[in-house]
Amino acid sequence: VKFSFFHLMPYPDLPADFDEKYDASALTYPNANFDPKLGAALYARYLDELEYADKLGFDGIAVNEHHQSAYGLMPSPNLMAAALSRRTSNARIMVLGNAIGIRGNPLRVAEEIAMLDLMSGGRVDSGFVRGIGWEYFGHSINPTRSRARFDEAHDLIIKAWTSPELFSWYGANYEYRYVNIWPRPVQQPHPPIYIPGAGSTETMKFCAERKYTYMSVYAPTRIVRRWFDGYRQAAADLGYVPDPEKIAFSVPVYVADTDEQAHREARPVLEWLYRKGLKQTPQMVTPPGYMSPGSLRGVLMSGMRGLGGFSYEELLANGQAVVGSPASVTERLGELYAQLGGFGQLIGLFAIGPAAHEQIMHSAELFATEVMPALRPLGVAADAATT
Amino acid sequence: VADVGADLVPAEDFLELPGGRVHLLRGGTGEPVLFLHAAGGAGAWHPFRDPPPAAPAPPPGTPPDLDVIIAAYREATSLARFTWVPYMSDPKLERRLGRITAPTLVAAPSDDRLIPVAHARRYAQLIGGARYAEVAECGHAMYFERPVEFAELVATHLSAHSLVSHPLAESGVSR
Repeated sequence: VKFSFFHLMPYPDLPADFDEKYDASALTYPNANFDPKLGAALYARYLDELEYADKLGFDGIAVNEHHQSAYGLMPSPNLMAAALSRRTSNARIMVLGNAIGIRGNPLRVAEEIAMLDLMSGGRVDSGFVRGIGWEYFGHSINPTRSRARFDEAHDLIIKAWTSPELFSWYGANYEYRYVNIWPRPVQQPHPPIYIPGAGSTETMKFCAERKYTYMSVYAPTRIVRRWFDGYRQAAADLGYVPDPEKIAFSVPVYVADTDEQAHREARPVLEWLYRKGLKQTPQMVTPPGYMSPGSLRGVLMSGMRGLGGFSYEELLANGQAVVGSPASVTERLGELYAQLGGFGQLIGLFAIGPAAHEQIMHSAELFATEVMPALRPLGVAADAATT
Repeated sequence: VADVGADLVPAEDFLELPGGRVHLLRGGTGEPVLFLHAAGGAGAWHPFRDPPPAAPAPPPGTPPDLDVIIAAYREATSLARFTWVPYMSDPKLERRLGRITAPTLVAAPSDDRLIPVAHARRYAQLIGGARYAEVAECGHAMYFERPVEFAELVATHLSAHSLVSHPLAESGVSR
């Protein structure tokens, strides 16, 4: 297994009456509650944490894109990746990802990722996401065009990276008379692509056809197992067994010296993430046309509850968070590895809420020195057949 | 838009007017409502001011009908396809309204809680020679809530301005 340290860059300092007064941490949560001085300090601290993860030997350090939200303070993940490119030396810099569905000019993403690839010495991984439902309100992008925009932006970006000659692009959503990007990426044919999946069979097939890494998002183990199996099946339908590294399990992780200490410290952090950070209304999450009627039916029929409805104990039992001493976390991740039918990448969400800097640094250090060596032999190409 | 949440199976349901009738389409059960998808202020259900009588409610404890939810989502999706950007508005309308030369009646409901009456008044200001009329005690769905009053306004206006007397007809531009 390869390991990465994912930073959500949250703004944890919510007012005491947040629960009663606000129905979401994004879109309509007033930015009067944002203190720029604190924000600047948080950025400095968060970049330090990502840089520390590189020094600790994590295989990757990850950032993502969100808008108008206290859940994550990175409207532009590429800026964070640029800062990291000069201060880290070994870890992959994972942008998970650019929300190409809401970008007015997706060619800019091709240009910026190519720049990052050069600046980082070919260490960039490029994730593509559609953008969360509320971001279609925030950026006034028609959500009924979401899937089509994502697909076309993806095709355009890949072609811009790989075409050796100038081309024109006339699509339903984007038009360019001259595509001829400078610089071109250093990784050939292009940086590795990551796509998060949340149950859509179209996405599983899309990733399997292109051999992209398929990554999970917040969900109970039994549901993530279904997603991973769907991806494996889509690959099998195409006649191949996916490299374990193409399956990435992402989960919040918190490690402390003892189980007792870990749970005491992690409980408020996870409760913040699931009850406050991810607090959102159904209208915001599912604007009209953002999901196909079939996908909506699937979600409603799966009986999936809102993320805020789970207790701390349920989150742990469901595999929606992994907390404990290094020994307990190692054991639990081994269990989840078996329950999920294997994975080759673990994307740990180490910085997700109001944990102190020292807590996150210590958690990452314990994970890197004690958990990673024990789990590394799992999920490498040789044991793919046994999963 | 009014019939959120069901397949629109045409029912034999009519509002009778002098000289005509309006065919009503109704989907699902309960009070007809409008749902606006938008941040800040909208994103809520708006009842009509004076709703037509509701279809009988399902027995208590009936689970939500998945088909009804999916159908409502389809309806909202259709609306969004046309009206998301610009959002239910047309920034170019201000200058375009002045180009209208036909004799115009601007009829507006007195108590529209979706679109402020100020919009209708502005239309009347910008369209040369337009007459403004308000239907009293009426919410957004004017044609359904006050069909008689609305039909009367329109009929009176149309009979007062027959096409043959229109300047375009005289100049031969009109067909």
